[in-house]
Amino acid sequence: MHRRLFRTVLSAGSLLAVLAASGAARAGDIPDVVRPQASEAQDETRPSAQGAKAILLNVLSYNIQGLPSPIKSNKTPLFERIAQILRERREAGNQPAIVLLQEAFDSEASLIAETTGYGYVLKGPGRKARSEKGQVHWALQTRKNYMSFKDPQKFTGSGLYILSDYPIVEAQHKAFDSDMCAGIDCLSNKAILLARVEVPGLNTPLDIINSHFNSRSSAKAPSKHVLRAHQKQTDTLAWFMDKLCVNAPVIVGGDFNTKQSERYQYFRSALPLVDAAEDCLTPGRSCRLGAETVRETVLYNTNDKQFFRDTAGYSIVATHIERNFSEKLDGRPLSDHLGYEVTYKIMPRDSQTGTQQWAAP
Amino acid sequence: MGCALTRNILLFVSFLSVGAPVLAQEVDMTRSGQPVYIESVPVDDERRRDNWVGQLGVGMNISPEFLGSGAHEFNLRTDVRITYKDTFFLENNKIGAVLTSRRFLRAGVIARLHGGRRDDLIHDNVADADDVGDTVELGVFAGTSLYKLFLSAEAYWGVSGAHDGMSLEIEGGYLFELNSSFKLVPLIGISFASDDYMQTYFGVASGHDSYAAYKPKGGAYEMHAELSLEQRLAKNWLLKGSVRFSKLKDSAFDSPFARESRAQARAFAGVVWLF
Repeated sequence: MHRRLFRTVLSAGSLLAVLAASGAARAGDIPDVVRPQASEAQDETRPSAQGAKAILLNVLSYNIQGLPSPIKSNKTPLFERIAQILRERREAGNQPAIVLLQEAFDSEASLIAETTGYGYVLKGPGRKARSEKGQVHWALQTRKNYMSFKDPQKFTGSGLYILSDYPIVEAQHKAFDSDMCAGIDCLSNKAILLARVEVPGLNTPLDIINSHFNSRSSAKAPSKHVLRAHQKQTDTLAWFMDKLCVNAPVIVGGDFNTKQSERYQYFRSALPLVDAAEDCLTPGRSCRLGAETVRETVLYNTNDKQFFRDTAGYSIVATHIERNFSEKLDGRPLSDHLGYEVTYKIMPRDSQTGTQQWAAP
Repeated sequence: MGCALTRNILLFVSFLSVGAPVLAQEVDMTRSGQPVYIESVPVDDERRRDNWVGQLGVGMNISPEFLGSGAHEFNLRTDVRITYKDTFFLENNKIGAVLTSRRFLRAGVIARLHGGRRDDLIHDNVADADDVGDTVELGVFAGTSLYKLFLSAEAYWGVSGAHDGMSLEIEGGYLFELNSSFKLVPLIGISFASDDYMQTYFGVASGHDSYAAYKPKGGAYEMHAELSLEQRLAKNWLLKGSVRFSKLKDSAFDSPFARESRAQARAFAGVVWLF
């Protein structure tokens, strides 16, 4: 009884916190960001099928730290709370239209997918859907030939989910090859997950990519191996996008473990993508950060990132970025990551002139 | 992605959506209930694994002259390990095939040439010992691995006449990647053998001219500990070394052929080419 009451109070508090966080940013917190005009939210619509106009699309990327027991125990209340926040936001009409989850290894994590009102759920490859390509790393070869497991043992699946309010019309994945991981990360079947989403108001499907790259120090492997594995994963994402995302506008989100600048630079050089945070914080942009969101935690001092690539038909800009899900439940953080939520404005370009059809607010 | 794929996914979506409201383009803010699960299709590249994988090495080797010997030979030795399609393998004196490969288990058949005991040995304690020829043994193996921890077992039966016995070797170890070019693998193991096997290598038949009859019992006869090291010199080159100590147990320990040295050592140091 007390627990239920406590949860209700927490829920109400969280709802207020979420609503407060989605409000206007305080002046002075983020000096480089141009403040939006008050009427911005009314100038665009949530996606609809009513023709070519700018649409706003919220995309949340969230590593929920759903590590399997006993590495992390008693996770269900945390998952329930995350789901509750998403439900409350749905009721308030400001839920992210697309959610990218990482580290949703535990089966209980599926409650986030199933109880939050999302119409379409794409789950990443499980542990058996591993790639059977790539050689076993020299350092993992045992002294007996037959004991060298060429395919690293996967204890968990990819831990990836894509939840969508809009129909997912196509879906593909690529599990990283056996030599594209290092250390403990090899125990999960890390992958790239693509959902082609039919967003109302867009004449072409929007490609959404979710991925989780090799960690750094927590991989417990020599740094050279870890860096090489990360670079191979980056190369694979570049190959994947070249193959599958040729003409579609693309949003790429996930836990890319790119906090280390060497990794970030390689990632950026290999992939022709725009960093949503860099785009948002470009002087002159009509973009704002969340009330409690610190500039560095969306730019480079974070492993969670979102990127995008527009097309000749559509331009994309970030209009709002927020690090959320920062509350604690009974003193425990919901995850060791924060949510990384970006609001994108997707605009059809004038095919004759190449200019935008819409007027910026 | 082809049209057929799209059609299949849409069919799958439609199938799961039976009974659900018509899919609206506008978002239903109050939507609840089970979502439609979409299945993703794997996409792959043209990358192929090499059929042939292995290593060829050469180096200096120290090993006992025969099982239980206190005398050691020092010689040049090759280290050959070749695998074809991750199934067939040749590993120095062993050859085999992996018949089952699962997430935690690899098992198959194996054969080896087991060195005997020559009659030209000069050591006093075995100078009059009977010759034991090299023996072909057939067997089975199984191995399991948990991340960098591994455990393997090999069982052999003599088939070429020197002995009709059986032996079983179990060993386990752990891989340490100390840095990106240096690997350390400590392991321990134990060997068991049947009465026949023990009699061939440690026993003395009754009526022997020089030795009193000795009939060892089957069971655990040797324990060993090994430390192997590999230093990566270049992409395809390794510096490899290993040191192994073994100690005879029980009936083997009391054998007249083992009295000179109940603990034995093996060591190898060489250069290896990976392919």
